[in-house]
Amino acid sequence: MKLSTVFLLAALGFCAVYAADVVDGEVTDDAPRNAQEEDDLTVGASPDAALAFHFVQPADANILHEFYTGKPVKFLIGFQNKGEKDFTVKFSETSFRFPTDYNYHLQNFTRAEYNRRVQPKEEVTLDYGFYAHETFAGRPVGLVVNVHYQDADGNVFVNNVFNQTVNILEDDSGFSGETGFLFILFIALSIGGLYIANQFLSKLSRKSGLSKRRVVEQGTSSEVDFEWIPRDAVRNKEKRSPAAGSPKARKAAKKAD
Amino acid sequence: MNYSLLVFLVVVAYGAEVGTQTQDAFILAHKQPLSTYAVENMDFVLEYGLYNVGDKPAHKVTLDDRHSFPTNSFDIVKGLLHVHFEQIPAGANVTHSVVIRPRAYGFFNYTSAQVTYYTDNENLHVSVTNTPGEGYIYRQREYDRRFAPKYTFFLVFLALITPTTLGSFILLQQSKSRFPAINKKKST
Repeated sequence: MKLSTVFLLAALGFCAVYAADVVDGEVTDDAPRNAQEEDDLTVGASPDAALAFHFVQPADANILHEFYTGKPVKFLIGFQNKGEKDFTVKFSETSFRFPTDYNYHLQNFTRAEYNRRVQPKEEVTLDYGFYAHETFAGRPVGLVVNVHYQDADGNVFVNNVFNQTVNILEDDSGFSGETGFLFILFIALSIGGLYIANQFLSKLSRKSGLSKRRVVEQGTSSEVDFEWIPRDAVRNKEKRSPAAGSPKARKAAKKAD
Repeated sequence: MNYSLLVFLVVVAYGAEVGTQTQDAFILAHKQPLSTYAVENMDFVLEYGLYNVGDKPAHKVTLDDRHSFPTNSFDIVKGLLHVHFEQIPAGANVTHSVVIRPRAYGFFNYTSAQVTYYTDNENLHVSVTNTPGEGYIYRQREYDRRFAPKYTFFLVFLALITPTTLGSFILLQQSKSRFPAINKKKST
């Protein structure tokens, strides 16, 4: 009875998973991942491997455990093969955890695929780097770095190389483009405001001043201001200008002569 | 009695060894390019970092990266690809940089450098750095097109706009000089 129900449930589950697979690809992602996570819990470190961990950037992170957002965080993982068989370092996974509950993942970083073979009595250095996002600024997070590796027989091992709470600080050194341009905009606006105010005020004052002697345009006066006309133009006109009056009047004048 | 003491000593020694796994020197070697772009016939800066994370100094540390940069495709401008440090104390680090110049363009696989060192008890450790991986070495022309200052373009542009700008300016000056009275009136 009990066995049959188990079988039934298993069959049902299998069907469900299979159906889900066909309908929706997301479920396929979850199933192996869960399995792997369970594996991680059971799989431990190999006694033949020694691992080391060191932050390269920022340099004081090894002691202070503090990072700045928006700046690269780089670290090295040393892998030493003390045994007699080859090891293959598969990958390292880095994640941010909730500081009070390390089972709660805040962010999983892209895992670094190494696939490096380490021969007996040899050492390998591996590197990884990430940026802490601004949303983590000003609060502690748990940083966990796990290294997955295999021995020549295909046994999987996982070593935890870093598992501590780190503080993430807001990066307030350096020049921030956003605030910088905001300041430039404010300066420009204030200069523009001053200019407009100056114009407005001067216009007001001129209006009041000019009201006494308003010049009314009365057409061209008969007097020509020769000062405005270039001298050569005046001279040309003097040479070329014919006698005053119409041709008829001129003829009449000739006759009279 | 004597026997048990010996056993006890062995146990203690073993325990001490297990307890502090990194008692010996342990060097982490790091190799990274400092230049953003690798371009043929232009300088490319590489940096090596050696970090002793162990508890004891490492002796006779050598860093060898001669095999990663074959001289038929790279010129070494400055620095040595094979260096020797007599001792790196515990917790100390060394950085070493080399300037090279690629001779040809194309994809290039930056492989790891090799580091050897002796720990206190005179046993040799062979360590390999990380691999920066595959990178592209740009052609000089490609790089210039993207980043070089484009003086010739500016010169051609100036030549193109000269007739319109300078010509109209000269014309303006000419006609302005014909009306000297305007200038006088404005100044008064």
